[in-house]
Amino acid sequence: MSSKRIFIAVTCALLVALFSGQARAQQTAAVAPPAGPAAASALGIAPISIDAKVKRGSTYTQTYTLSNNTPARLRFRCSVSDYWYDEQNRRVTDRPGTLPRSASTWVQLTPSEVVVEPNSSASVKAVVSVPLSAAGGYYTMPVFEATPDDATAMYTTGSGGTTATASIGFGFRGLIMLTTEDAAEYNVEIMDGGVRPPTASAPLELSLDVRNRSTTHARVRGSFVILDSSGAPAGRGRIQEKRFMPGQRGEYKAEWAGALAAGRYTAVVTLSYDRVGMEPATLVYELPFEARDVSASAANR
Amino acid sequence: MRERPARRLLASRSCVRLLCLAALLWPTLAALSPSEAASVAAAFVKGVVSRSPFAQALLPARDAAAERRGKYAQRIKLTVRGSHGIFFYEPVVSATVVDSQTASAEIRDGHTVFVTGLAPGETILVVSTSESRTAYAVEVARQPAARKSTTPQPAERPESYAGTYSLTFSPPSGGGPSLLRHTFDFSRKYDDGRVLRAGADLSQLFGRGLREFGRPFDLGVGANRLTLGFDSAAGTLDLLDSDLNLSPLGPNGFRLRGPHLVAGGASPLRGAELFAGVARPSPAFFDGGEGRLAGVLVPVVDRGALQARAGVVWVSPRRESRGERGGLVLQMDVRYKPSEQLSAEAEAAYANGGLSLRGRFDAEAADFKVYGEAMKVDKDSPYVSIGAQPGGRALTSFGLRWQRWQRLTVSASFRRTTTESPSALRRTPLNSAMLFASAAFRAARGTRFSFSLTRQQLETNARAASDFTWHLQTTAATFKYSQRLGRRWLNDFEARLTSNTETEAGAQVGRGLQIREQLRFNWRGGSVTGYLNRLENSPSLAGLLIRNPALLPEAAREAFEADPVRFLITNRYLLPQLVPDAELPLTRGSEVGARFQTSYSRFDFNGEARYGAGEFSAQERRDLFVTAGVTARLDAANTIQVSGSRLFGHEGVGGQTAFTVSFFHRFGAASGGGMSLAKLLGLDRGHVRGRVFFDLNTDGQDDAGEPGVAGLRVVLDGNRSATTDAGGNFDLVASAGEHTIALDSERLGVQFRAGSPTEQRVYVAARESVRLAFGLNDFGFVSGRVFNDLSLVGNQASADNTPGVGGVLVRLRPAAGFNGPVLSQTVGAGGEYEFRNVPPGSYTLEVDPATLPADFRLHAGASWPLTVSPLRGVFASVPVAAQRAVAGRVFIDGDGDGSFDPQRDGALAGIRVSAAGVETLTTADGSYLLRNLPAGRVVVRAVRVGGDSREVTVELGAGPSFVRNLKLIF
Repeated sequence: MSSKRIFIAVTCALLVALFSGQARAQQTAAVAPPAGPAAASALGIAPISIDAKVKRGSTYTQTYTLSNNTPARLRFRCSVSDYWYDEQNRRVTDRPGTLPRSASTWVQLTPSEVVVEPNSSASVKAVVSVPLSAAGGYYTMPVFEATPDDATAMYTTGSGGTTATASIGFGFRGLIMLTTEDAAEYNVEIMDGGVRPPTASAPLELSLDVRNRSTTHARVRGSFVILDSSGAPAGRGRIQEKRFMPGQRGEYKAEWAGALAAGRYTAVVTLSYDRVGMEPATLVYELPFEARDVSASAANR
Repeated sequence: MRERPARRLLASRSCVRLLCLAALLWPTLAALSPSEAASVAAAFVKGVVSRSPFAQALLPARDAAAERRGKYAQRIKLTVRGSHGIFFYEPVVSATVVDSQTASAEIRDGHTVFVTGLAPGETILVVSTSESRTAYAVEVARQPAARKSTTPQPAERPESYAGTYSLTFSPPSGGGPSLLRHTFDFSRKYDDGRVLRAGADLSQLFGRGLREFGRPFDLGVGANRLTLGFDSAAGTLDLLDSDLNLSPLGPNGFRLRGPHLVAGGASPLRGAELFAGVARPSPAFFDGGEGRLAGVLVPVVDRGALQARAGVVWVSPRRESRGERGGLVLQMDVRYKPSEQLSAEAEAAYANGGLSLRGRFDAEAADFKVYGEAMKVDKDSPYVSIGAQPGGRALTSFGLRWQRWQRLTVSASFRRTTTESPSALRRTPLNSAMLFASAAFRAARGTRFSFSLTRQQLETNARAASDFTWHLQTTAATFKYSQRLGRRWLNDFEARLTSNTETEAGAQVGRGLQIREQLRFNWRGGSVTGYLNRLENSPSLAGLLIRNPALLPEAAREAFEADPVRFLITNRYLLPQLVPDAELPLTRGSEVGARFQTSYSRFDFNGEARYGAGEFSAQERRDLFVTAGVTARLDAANTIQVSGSRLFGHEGVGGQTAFTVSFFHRFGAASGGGMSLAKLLGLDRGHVRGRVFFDLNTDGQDDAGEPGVAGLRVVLDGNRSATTDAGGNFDLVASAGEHTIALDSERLGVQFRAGSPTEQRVYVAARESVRLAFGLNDFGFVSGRVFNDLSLVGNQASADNTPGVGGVLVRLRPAAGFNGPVLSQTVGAGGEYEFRNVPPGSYTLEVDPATLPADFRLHAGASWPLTVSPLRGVFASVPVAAQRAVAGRVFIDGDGDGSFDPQRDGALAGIRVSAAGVETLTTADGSYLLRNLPAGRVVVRAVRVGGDSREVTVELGAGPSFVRNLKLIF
């Protein structure tokens, strides 16, 4: 009976974590059910996302902490997976060594399996061997799959002469982004851009077509200033940071909720991104546009 | 055509300008290093190319393309509260900062934007002018905080003791004995500020050379100097040797052996001086004038600018045979210094009925510095008896220095001295006068000229008409030139012309010319100097005898030694007869040589080689002199110095060798004061030993049985390296301290994957070894899936979107000839399997058919060969097929009831029935069975001879299935 209770508790914890925390896992570096009977139970991995600069021909070491605050022993199985993006800029993962700029085959996770006792934690060391010939950015996703280690937690039922085994697990995925110190080339370009002027029902929308031709990823952060025809500022704002993988091309958007009087304006947009071994670069792009009289159009309607 | 002459003219003008520019810049260009010259050339070529028509044509297109992709913004770096101004030619309309908490912008005078950092961060500044808009990236950093050490530092405490000890050993050379010399200076500072001082300079001659010498050297230890004293705010007390600077009228620069107290500023007797002991004029032992001395001087006036002392000194000469006498001296001195530009002093000493006086002033006004001094020393002063003066003396001197400009310095001085023998002696006194004038000019940076003229006159002071008189006048002109050539070269040249004339005889008795040229090249680690000296000199015979009295016959020598000047004057016409075989000692000489000094690591090297040829001491002589030395700094406290020299004589002079070994130790140095000979012997070093191994179990530990990796390079601190042997072992010698050990391999990440960091910090202790290990592996992996091949294609391409088949046992078996365990795994519910840490090689992937679920089968065979490469994965999915079958009957429905009645319906035999590429013929009773059908919608068709056909569609599931009684009715 007790083993059944434990199994049910672990299952509940994992399901709650699966549905409530998975989306945040990439950001928060931990999965913690917010409420409910399983709130006290939590599984965690830290850190989730690593953006490191590495020396070629050397190793980079990162220690992961696996936390188990459930009442069950859990076995974490550690592996790596490739990380990239597809034509629609969606994240794709695949087997080690199959996607571009894969660092998966360089990674040694020690130990590759670890049992974490209830309410305790364990460490897993990732040693990344960076070849001398590496240049630019490389990516891999450590995967930590947790399954109950207690044999009694494996719930077995017999049915009509066949046996079915139920095993519920949960996988955590991290991300390691590596940039070689002295061999990365940076070139972020703004291919095109446009401004949709504000209307009575929609804010100003600013859109840029950005392409990262660098050999490594670029974290692009932006800001803009709206100047009227005389050069006086009419508005300003920041654009949320976005990561562009090598070769990736995508839209970079921002909204501004302020109102503009009718007239001609220019949005001066800047995109900044950090560069390993160099000072950050800032691109400037000007987008002229014309705003109509919002109040008049609203009144006509 | 008309333009051609004009263009030619322009071209020629351009050429002339270019040549003029090149001529002007030539000194600069000539001084450039090759890399700098390459940079200049590249910049020039770039400038020319960028101005070419082709480049100009391309420029707009290039700019437009760049414009489309965005321009790069200039970056402004600020600290919090720091400002930066940007000037614009056009009027500035606005300056907008995106994050007003990070920085602020202010427009001043309509053309300048001042941006000021407010908080650490990054923001954008957009400046809009009437013509354009410009964006800047503004980076605001924290203000640099005052450097504070985060670790507690021990309180500053000066070393309590300091000093040096040196030991010098010279082995026997030239038939002489060995020499051992100890020099020792030690001071200890106590907490109350008092300092104890002790020192010694001891030498000892010993060895075989000592016995072989005709006249043995002094045995035992000779003490040149012994000091023991205390220093404190109250004064200085010396118990053994000390320096005595009493007065220019008396013992000045003397060495006193005995107690000596000088009251300091904190004492009520400030300025008082008490002493007693044996004094001698200088540390030179051959100086005969020494005697006992005791005295006291106390301050009588001390009013800031005006100071006066008075006292009494008792003098007792040791060498009474010379007829000099001691006595009591009453002494007083007054010093007045109202400012830094003006000072004056006066002294008086009275003894034996005679008065000695001295006065001096120094003044500085505008571009002039002047001094004047007058002194008269009584011939019977007791100070004369201990060697302070050769006798009574009167001195008058004054000097002038003028420096109107920094580059030019002119100075002149005059000095006249008259001497008088003590009353007890009848020596002919000698007077001298010297006029000196010089001008030094610094022409440019590193270039100096100077010219000096010296005229000296020596004459006898005839006290009676019968006394002989002698006048010797010497004139010397010296020219010096120093030129620095670039940063590394320095040239020095000096020419000196001398002429001696005996005015009494009206004859020129000596003439000389000396030329010295020296070229020096220096770099950061040392210098090399080459030199050439040429000497032409014609000294007088009198000068020869002064230096070599032994040339005279025995009887004449005694007269000469009694009064040399008188003897030379008296016998000046007889000298050629008295010394018939003597030739002038030096008539000419040249020498050329080079010396160097350099440093490498803790070693300093120096050496010199000099070749000389000329006539020395009436002999033609050529010799080569070579000397070399090396100094090894063992640590901050200890130094060993070895030097040697060898003289190779070619004519007239035999070879001579000298060798010296010295050891210096500095007390209280940072090394702790120990004699770190261990460093010299290498005992301060330790070992970094370790192994590079195959981490078979990937635990990062160097476990027993894990083989080594040979031929890999392990680097110590980025410079020294070792290569692993067959067992993967390496051994590096390292000095005590912290070091970085790194595994350096191009195969890392390509053929090997590290299981532990390839760069490790270790601390090495002397004479101990540190062990460390680097674990590597080259494992690949094999993974895949056992899947339900729904379409029965039979290859991995059909694996996508198909259900897995669980519970199947898969094995990875090494190929023949490849040792390794057979790995097996039962796939999970999804059919996935993964063999990790698989050594590279050839394998066979097998599936145990017995473990397949019921009604599943393998397509063909149960094994697949595959090859695992280092660090690579092999993905192999295994298709298995579920058994799906359809059975039924083909008949003519005679009664039309839709079912087969053997009595009323006619079974059709031999009819071809097919579905999904599988076909069969009906049996005699019209029945058929189709096996191995794919999943999904399947059309079963029966075709009679003549083309008449019937078909039925059935839906087959993913799992095994058997559809019975499927009727095909004609």
